Amino acid sequence: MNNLWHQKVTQVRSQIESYRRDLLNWIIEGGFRLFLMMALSITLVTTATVIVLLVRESLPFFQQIPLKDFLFGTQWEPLIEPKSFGVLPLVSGTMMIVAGAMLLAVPSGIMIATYLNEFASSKLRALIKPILEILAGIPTVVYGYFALTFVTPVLKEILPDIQVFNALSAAIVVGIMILPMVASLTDDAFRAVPNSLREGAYAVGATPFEVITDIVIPASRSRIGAAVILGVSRAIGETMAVTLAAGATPKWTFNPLESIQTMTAYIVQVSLGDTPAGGIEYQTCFVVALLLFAITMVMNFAGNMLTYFDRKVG
Amino acid sequence: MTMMNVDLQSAPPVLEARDLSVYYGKTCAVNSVSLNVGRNQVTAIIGPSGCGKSTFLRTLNRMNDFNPSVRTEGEVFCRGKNIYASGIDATEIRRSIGMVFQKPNPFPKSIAKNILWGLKINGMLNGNGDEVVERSLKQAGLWDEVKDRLNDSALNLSGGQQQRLCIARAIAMSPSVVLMDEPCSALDPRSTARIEDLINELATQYTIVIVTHNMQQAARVSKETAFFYEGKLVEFGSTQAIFTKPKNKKTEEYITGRMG
Repeated sequence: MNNLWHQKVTQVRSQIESYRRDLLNWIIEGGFRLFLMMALSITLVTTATVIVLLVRESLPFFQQIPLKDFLFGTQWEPLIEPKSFGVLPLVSGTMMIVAGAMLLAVPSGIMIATYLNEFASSKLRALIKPILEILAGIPTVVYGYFALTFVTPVLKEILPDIQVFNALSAAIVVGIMILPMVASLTDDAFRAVPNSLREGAYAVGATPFEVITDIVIPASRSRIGAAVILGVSRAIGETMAVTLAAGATPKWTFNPLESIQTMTAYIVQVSLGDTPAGGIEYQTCFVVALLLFAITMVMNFAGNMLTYFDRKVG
Repeated sequence: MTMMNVDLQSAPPVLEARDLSVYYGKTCAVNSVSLNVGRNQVTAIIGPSGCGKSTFLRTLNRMNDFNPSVRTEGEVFCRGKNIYASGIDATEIRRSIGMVFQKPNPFPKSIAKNILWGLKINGMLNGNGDEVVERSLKQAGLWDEVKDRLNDSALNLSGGQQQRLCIARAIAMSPSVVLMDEPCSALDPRSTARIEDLINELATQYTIVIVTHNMQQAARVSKETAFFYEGKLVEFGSTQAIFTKPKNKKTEEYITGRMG
């Protein structure tokens, strides 16, 4: 009888002990998970806050200016009377920078990656990679200065018509700026192509050139696409160099020799100037930022679609 | 049939290795190997891991050229021409000596383009290549499975199908020799059996050198077998002789499973 009672007590006690341990584990595990979620929430909260802020400040603007006039107008003069709020000049300015930069960065990036991956010895590779990273570490304001004091004068020797502030020299330095990133991502893309694929190509009598152009590049096209899109996103968002070198003249033009203004450079201009908070001039800053944000988002979406589509095709 | 069975000794060699040595830096991986590969038959190379059999195979189409730490000495004659002579274009060598690898490595292209790519880049493609695709795939025993989806990506095929496609890709070039580096090691038993049948069929028209760590496979598919041990060619002879009455003690230990 006593023995049975004792058995029962031990059983219950061990049960309680096990519950206690489970609870403790649950608290520790849960606490840890919460901690990790907080780290994640920093990014989520920031993104959400930015979107809310941009939309909230933009709404009053669109109550005065129709969306159509904003998106398709070719006059951007929000600070001078008579005011005009067509954003296309800023868009054309930005697109010229992006196009020029990509024209420079993508082919050179692919060539650099090809050289590093398929031809350079491991020693040379170990030397070149850090140099590329230094290039990526130069402050963007230095690039702006470089454009203004070196690239533009050189361009003037070749193209005498070029203005002191012009889209071309800004596009060139932005291209140099994003080159390390494009090259490095493309290099990673090429490295991800299994060597067995290269060997298979060499085994049917291919030359290195044929292996790269016909096997390696097609096999890594979705990763190269991602590198290009990241490059475009950076070029769109690049601010300091274009503010310094491209000018502050919003102009609906595709002539790279003229002074223009990009969306980012306009935001700088308004933020630094003495535009009073609350007015429509002040709101344009947020509206342009919202457009910038939307473009980048579409770019990222396009990038994801590209990867998805590519995976399906194989 | 008896007429077709050419005596072992009289088969003219397509490939001849003469005093071939391969070094990785200072390590000697293949030590002064001389070996003749007879025409239209399967020659198997067996031996324990690290015995230099794969390295040796890769010297036969200059595949080791891509590794800068590899140094090759000696000569390899393909149809009487030394492929290591100066002025020889390694690309041209690989065009006539095909290779099938351990892991199936189809190009990320369509099934048809996998077959035609080698011909195209080497300017050997006449017409649209439909016949080559059909003939190669038929020879590789893959035609019936893929004939309705020649333009599908080769990456959607199963591992065994991919390996047969790689064989088709090699024979589409009408090579003098096909080198196979453990072609079944990444495949399941059923696919392995199919590939082995295929090798036996191909042997009537092609010269094949196969490296395998599977002795039964060597016994099943090859006419002659070379046993490598520590970079040296220990014994070489008819497969039947190697497996039934090996002359060397090392060979005997290996094939009876006491070493390996």
